[in-house]
Amino acid sequence: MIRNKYMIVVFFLVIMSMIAACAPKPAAPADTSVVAEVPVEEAEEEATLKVAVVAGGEVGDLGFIDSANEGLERMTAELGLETSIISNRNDMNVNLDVLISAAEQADLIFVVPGYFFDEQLKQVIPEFPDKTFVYVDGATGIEGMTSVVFMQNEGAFLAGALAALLTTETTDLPSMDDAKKIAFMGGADMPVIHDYQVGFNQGAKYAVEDIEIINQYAGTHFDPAKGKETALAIYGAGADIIFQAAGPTGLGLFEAAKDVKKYAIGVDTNQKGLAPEWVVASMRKNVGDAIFQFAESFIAGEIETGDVMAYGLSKNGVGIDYGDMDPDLVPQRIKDMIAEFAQEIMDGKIVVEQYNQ
Amino acid sequence: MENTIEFLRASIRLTTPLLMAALGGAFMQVSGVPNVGMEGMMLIAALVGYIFCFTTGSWVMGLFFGVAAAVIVGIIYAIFVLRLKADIFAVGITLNIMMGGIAAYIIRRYYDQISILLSQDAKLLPILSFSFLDKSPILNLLLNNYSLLIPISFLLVAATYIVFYKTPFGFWLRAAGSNPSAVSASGKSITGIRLSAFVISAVFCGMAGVHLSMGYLGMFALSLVAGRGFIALAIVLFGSGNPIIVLIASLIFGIADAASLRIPTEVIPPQFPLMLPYIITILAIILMSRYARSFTSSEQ
Repeated sequence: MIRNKYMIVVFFLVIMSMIAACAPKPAAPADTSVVAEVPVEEAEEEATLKVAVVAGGEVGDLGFIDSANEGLERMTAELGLETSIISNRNDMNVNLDVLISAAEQADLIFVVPGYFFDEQLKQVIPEFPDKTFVYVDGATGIEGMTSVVFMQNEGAFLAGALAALLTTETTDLPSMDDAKKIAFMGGADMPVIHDYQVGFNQGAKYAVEDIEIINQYAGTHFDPAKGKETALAIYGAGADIIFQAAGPTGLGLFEAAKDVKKYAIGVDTNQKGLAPEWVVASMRKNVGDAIFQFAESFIAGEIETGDVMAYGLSKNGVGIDYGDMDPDLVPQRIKDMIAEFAQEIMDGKIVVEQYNQ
Repeated sequence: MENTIEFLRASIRLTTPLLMAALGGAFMQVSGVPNVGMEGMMLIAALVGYIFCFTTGSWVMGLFFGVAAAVIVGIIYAIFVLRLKADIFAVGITLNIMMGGIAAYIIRRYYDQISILLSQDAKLLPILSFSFLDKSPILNLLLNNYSLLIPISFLLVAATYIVFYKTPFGFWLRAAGSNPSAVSASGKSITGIRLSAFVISAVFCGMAGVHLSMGYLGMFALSLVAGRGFIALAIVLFGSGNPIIVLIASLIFGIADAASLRIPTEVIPPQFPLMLPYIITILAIILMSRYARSFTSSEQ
């Protein structure tokens, strides 16, 4: 009997911790359980388009999911769409369920990022043939999948050019030494991260021919302490500036930058605020803008199932964001050069390489 | 030369959180109860410590309340295991999950943040600098300027060794693990001995957690502990709670980690060096699981 009682107590502890994790979030209406209870039949005859984001992570990641959430907010405000965001709360085991619950209550489903949901999408898509599933950030061969891809290589090209130009401009930034050394820090070793790396390396070499580039991976996307240690190792090897594409691991870069007083370039969102004196810029991936534009095209009937929509510099899918915060570390003439490179890429004068698996 | 020293420093930095937590785990291990809740204790201490160090502007308060939070978790753990006779693994894992939930709740509800907490007002743990080391440039580079708890963690190895093998308390502690019925027969309370082990263990894990947020990273992130509590448990099981073996095993992990971050991607795919700590973990658990099981059966 005693064992049974204790089992009940343990059960309660588990439930409590789950309730704690589902606590109200003032900023984001993202509660799976509430969303799942909305009956599908309640849809009106001339219903507005219902859009859902299935998030393989949580709102507040200072990255993709936050950006997608901004896109949804714009859709509600500017297009009058009914939107919701359904998160797997970093628990891959519920991926199938969050996909199904999204498919039951929305018509257009963005899966962010798609590569966390490959297997589940294969199962769910055939069951909901009248829904549109959009794989965000990558194109796959899954039947019936529409895709949004970002030209992160184009954004990374500009980040590489920026890093290379800054390190040769020793007069403006006091902590830059004479060595022409810059670095790329990856998180987990995944194809999409290599795409950043390829773009970064090409951009740096395009801007400054004899630049030396260190490419290092932390091996994980989820360990900020290891990110800091990796960044310290790279700075120790002589790099003045590091561009990271490493998810939460990358947060450690900014702490390392503060410690050794060297420079950093953020990724995905504007990360200037994490270390304003040392972050020169961020390469933004505007998931929000991309899915907003996608929704517009979708409503206009311009998109067919299976299409791959690419958002690069030209559609503001990626770009360099210097962050509206003091101190502004990048001199205007370098900003002008970066803008010029961006224009050349958009005009097709520079072809940015892609990573081939 | 400088690179070698920086590599050794990185190894020491990566070793410390594991070492500190594993020493705490050793106290419980030798008293006969493995500490499965280290991950949760570290996480809650990291969060509470960080919150106090920027709200009060004092690292002492941060350290104190961070460790206190871990001790509260340790006492709850002890009540379930010692008083209510609950299974130590079930409660430990539950506490780990629960601390993750509580941490996420606190930073969302009170700080409107979701995965990280970063404040410019944070008063971090002091960096120790000893002037007598200045005379030798190598020693100065290698041993000076670490965050407070890094040298302390190494001192604690010696302290733990002395407590275990040179004090009456240590003898009772080890007796409670190896022969509980003899301890009961001699009139000592097994529960009392183990309770003190829970509390000491929580203090150590609390310091490890506080070190991660207030000493190592300078911010709090939900993924901050990143499985270090479980690696520490593997280290404890590996060394059967012997502080010297715990030190050696922690250093192996720390050095393997530091090395994996320095091997250029072009030479070996980064996955391989990164596997090393986990391969060691799995091997240690396999080797020691027999021991752990035979222990539990002898207790009942």
